[in-house]
Amino acid sequence: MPTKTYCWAIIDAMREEMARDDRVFLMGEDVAAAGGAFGASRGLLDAFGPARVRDTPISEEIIVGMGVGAAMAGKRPIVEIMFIDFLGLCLDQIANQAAKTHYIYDGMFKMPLVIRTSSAVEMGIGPHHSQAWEALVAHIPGLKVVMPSTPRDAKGLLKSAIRDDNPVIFIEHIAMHRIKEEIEDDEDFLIPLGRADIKRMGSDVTVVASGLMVARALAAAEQVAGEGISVEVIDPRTISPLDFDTIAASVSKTNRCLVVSSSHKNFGFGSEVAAEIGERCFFDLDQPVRRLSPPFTPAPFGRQFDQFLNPDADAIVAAVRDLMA
Amino acid sequence: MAHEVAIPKLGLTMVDCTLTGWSKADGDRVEKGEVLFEIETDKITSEVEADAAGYLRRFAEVDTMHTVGAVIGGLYETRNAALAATGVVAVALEAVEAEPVEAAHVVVPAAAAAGRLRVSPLARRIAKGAGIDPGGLTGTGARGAVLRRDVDAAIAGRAMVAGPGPKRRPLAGLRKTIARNMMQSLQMSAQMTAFARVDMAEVVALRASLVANEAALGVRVSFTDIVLKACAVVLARMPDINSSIIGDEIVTWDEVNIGLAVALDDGLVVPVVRRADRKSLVEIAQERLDLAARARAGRLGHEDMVAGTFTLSNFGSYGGDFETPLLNPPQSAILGIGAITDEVVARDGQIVIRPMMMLSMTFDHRLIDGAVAGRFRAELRALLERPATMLAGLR
Amino acid sequence: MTQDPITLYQSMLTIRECEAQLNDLFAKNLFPGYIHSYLGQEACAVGICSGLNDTDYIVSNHRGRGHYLAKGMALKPMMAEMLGKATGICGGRGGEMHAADPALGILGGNGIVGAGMPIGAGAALAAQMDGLGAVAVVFFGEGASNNGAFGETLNVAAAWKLPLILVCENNLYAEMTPFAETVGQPDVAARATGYGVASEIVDGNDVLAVRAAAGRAVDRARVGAGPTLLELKTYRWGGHFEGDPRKYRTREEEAEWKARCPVARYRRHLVDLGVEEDRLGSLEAVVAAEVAEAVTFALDSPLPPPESALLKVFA
Repeated sequence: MPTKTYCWAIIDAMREEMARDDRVFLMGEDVAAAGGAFGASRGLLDAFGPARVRDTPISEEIIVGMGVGAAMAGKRPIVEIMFIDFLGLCLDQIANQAAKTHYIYDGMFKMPLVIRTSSAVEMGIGPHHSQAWEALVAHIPGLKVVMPSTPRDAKGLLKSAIRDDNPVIFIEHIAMHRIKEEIEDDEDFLIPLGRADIKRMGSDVTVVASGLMVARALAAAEQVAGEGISVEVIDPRTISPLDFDTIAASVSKTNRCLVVSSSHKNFGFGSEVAAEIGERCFFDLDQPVRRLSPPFTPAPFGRQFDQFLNPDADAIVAAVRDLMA
Repeated sequence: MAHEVAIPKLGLTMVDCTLTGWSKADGDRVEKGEVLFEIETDKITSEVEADAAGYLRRFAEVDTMHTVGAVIGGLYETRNAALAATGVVAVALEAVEAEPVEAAHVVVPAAAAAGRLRVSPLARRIAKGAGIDPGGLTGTGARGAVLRRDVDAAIAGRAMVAGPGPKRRPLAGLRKTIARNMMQSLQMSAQMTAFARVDMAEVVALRASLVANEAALGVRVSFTDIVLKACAVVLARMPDINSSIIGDEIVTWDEVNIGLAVALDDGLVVPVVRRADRKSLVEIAQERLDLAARARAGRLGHEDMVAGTFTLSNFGSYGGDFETPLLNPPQSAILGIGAITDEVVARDGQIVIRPMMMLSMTFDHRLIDGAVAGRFRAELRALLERPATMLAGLR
Repeated sequence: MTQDPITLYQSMLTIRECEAQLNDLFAKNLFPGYIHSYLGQEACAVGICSGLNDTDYIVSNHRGRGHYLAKGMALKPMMAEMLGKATGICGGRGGEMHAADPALGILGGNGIVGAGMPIGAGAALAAQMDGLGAVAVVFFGEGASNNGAFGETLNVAAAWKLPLILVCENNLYAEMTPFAETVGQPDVAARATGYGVASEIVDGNDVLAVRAAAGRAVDRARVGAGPTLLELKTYRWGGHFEGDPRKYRTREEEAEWKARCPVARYRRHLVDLGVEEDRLGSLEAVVAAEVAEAVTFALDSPLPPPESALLKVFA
């Protein structure tokens, strides 16, 4: 199997799907001539031409809004919003239009729209370029929210998102762009949306980790394995709809759960997982569900703040030990 | 808004107590100043009066433990409001481990105030399935929580031993107070124990004379009374010993109040002889008898137990020679006295038999240097070997 | 699409009759929500849509019945949808501000002022990519021209030469505020030039003038010459919604505009052309009866079951 970076996995997914279905096209800021602000659409302009790979003005509302209209008129657009922090500029088109069109019009329109966006959590580039907003969009019914943590997941999930008839917010982590992984060389390699992945099997503690936190949870699991603590690491991959069945089955086995995420604790991803576990698995719990998240504050400019604010592997190790105490 | 009925703090080191009785029922009218409930701490029973008027709603059951400040009831404007009230039901503290607290600055942890028997949902489910009462298990989780492993251990234990297992009971009440105080004592001060051998011949003679005149004196004076008086005299002379470290301060007490350890069937209490330096041997003897009798009857009051500045423990009465007594915080010194036994000693080049007694003295080395401790020991020994000099100084 | 003069009149009459009968339902407390009346603007929808094909797209707004009917939506399912009934074209879940018919290129209304413009641009982009000559029309009020989406849409439509006709029905009132008080330039069309978009100001109460302007804009769009902004000057006879006390304008002004009624005006034109009064009178009776039948159908139809709210969140 070829080894690909996370970034090239995304490019490959788009190239394969655009070749497979000529209704698929890509538009966004800097996606064509520049090959993407982060290089995640390199080569696509040459491969598919300027009609299907389009640089847009810096007009987020119309980027998403045109995606909505084009989808209603039969296309399968991929639009790119450079940073997830910019979603505020187009939230009406996401939340009121894309998410509700199928619903309002009684299923007469599909909404096969992929909104690719990047998270730069912990990249030290300040309060307007560093937010984890997956929980914000996951709150809206009708949207799917996907957040891959490995190159293989990124490719398989993006291909599924493009083939899906619902609007999908696809969150790519810039910090992971250069991670490499072997990926199946198969144009129909798909990872289904809404299915969590057990990244490591274990029996003592379930750690539900998303995005950047997955690798950290795995490192922490390795560390405590030496102490005889067996950690099961679950990456939901799709934030909404969340695969609670996999999480609940794990927690019912381990009886202990920690949720680690870049999303704020308040009303966040961890809160949602913890509450659902409380409802589904209460009588399987031997310890309260724990959450590790950044505190309820913006992130200032500078990596020292990011390191201070975000959970690291040591924090995960400590929380796991705490659950075993 | 209801007026909260809360556990009052009745002494410097009071952390928790047992609610031993309510004087009023739910919905009863209570006037300010009426006795409302009764609590027990450190074997003291106190009646607590209402600090406001109203109609009572009780949130706590009798015989449950509570921290200082815990709300155990409410006083409402109308009877109906009281009966309809759904206050947070105050729950017992059984499994709550008190945080280590500084003796002189007791702070009740907020979490402990709302404490309760903690059993994880999983442990509860498994215990129920196995017919085990999780409340009877010792929790090994955070803050005493009963976890699955505790229930599993109980099930395994039951399977291994065909008879009843080891008897378990909760650490509570007086025993819990003692356990906490002893741990605090060791954790919070630097204890140094010194010994001295005292020739008690003259004290023996003095005591024989006092016992012979018991009828006239109206009380039977004991060796303990004489030693206690001697300690009081020396402490009055040496305020450095009659001192405490409290927080960031050194407090030198203006009274010499000597606590006397009294053994009970199920523990130990230390009632206090106040201003012992200014009391006669007869007064001290009378007071000691009264305190000991009331201690054994469980009728000591809060005021009988507080404000000690030094402690005397007579382990000689049950045959000990020397021990290493633990300080009674925040005091800085404690004296343990052993049995008076005839021993062979050298005196003026001759082998003689003398009634000897061992003094075991523990000092807080943070405050009291070895030289000061040595002087205290020497002065006390001098007084006990020449009790006439002590009596000569009495007013 | 060529339409004979009588058909234009019938289309305007149908809209007029629907608005009148819905207002009547509202007054009788038989209508379950807001009514955003289209009375007075009938020439706009009919003039624009009469020049479109079924393969052309329209994107409507919150005041959309005129657009739906002019583009050909069936009367009964449209009316039932307005009342939120199960027989409505969206099963009753869209209601008064949302109806659509993909087969006729009707891409829905909207509850958010201005949100339809980017969607219309997207439909135009799809049409451009398909290369079959279809165009997209987006209807919006002058109030929406003050929304950021307006500028974003004009800009990208011009840059990409999208086959998009931006139809601004300037009825003088942005919800409950006189439009003139909210702008420095009361002609919305004047803004088009700065974006490189062709524009025209048209008498929105003259269905023939609107139809002619729409024809020019559609021709430009179909040959790839890019977007046009048509500003149709008209008047909203009712309030922003029925029950709006209209304190922001005078009854005299309303009377003045009602004297310029687009339906009566076109009727006079037909009479001038020699159409007999009898023919017009019987047409009017037929349309009134059709609308009344649609209203009865809607009133008699069941509501969708509450549990159907759980359906169709995802495709």
